[in-house]
Amino acid sequence: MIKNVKISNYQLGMLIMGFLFGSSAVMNPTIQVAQDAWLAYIFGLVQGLALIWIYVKLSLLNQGQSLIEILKTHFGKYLGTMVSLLYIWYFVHLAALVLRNYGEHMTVTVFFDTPEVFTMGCFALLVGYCLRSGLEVTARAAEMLMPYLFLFVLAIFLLLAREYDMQNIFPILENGLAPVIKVSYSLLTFPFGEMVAFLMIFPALSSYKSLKKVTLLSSLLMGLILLGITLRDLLSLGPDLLVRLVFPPSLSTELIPELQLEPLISVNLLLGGWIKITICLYAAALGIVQLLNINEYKVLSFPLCFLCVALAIWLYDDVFQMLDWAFKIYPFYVLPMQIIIPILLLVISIVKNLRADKA
Amino acid sequence: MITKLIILLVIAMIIVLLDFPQLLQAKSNKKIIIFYSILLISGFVLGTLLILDRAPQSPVIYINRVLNFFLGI
Repeated sequence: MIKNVKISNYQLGMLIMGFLFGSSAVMNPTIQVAQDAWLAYIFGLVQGLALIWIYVKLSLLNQGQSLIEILKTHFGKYLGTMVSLLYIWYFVHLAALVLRNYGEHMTVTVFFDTPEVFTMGCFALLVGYCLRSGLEVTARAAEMLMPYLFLFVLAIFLLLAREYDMQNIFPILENGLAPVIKVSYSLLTFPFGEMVAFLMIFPALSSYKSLKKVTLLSSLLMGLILLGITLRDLLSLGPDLLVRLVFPPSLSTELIPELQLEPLISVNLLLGGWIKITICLYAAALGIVQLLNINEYKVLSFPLCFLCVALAIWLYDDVFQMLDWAFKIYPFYVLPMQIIIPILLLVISIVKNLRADKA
Repeated sequence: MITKLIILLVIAMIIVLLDFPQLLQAKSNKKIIIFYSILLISGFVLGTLLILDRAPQSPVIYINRVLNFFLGI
């Protein structure tokens, strides 16, 4: 473990909020159920908070240990290493997915003629610099920049108020509850389940005292902000248009008369995406050094970012393949990493703790 | 295409030059250098294959097939 890295509760809260905001503000899986998107979001948020509670509980039962160390402790050397490698791949893959989301968004909405690889490369350079500077620097930057994200979200929400049509949420549950539940599961895995990466961050917290409160509160708060964004797009654009759009927030901002606020959506994506990619690559780098029993992760920052850019380009042919993967395949692909293994680890931790208490 | 390859090579070289002092200072030198090289070479090879339009199928396609086989998605 990198013992000298310490972040405060407030910084952790900001990192969690930025991570959850990530690319989910522009790529919302709930839009598939049109006017019931807000309902799916509420279901997804409740499930997401339960899953985050599992991660927190797991971390509290194994205080001071990262996910890789927990895996090694409970699964043994060989199985633990294999599962750890799976997680390292997942963190790099997730970073590449978010980087590609960012690249596609920028190409589709802002930089039409700029090669996507250049946009992603510049972003990766920023992430690499942050990784190399350390987690504390990223946390301090998040602490400083996140308030702007809230400000921008609030500004767009209020400026669009005249465009809201409450009829857009009706009829409620037109196609029954089943599609809503199905989509809410997608939301559980993206973004809430991705918080599994924070199992690598929690040991860097200066005190475990407020871990549960800070994590759950910041997740709830960001969940509500994302619910607000979903409602904003639904009420302003209407369900028919919403299901046809690739990036709904970009169009909804265009409805604001006499103001061109679309760049604010890109700035928000830049802030959230930067935190998310940095956390994922930090988790991957830390995972690698913990597997190798060495104490220096910063040197891996730029090679990881370099690989991440290549992987991001390699992943999809176009934006439609990206959306299809994100909404249909991704929820099943991440099932073991986000739900099955953490629950298994929690059960093992509880049993071991009970045995230790009896002894 | 050749320009793109040269740019890729230059980027890889800049990364190595930037990290060189840290690589020399790293305590467990061998392990970190091996893993560092694996990551950098993987990125470079993948980048080269993408530029040459010879990249293998994306892992997304394989994951899709595996899930399709087991879950019928």
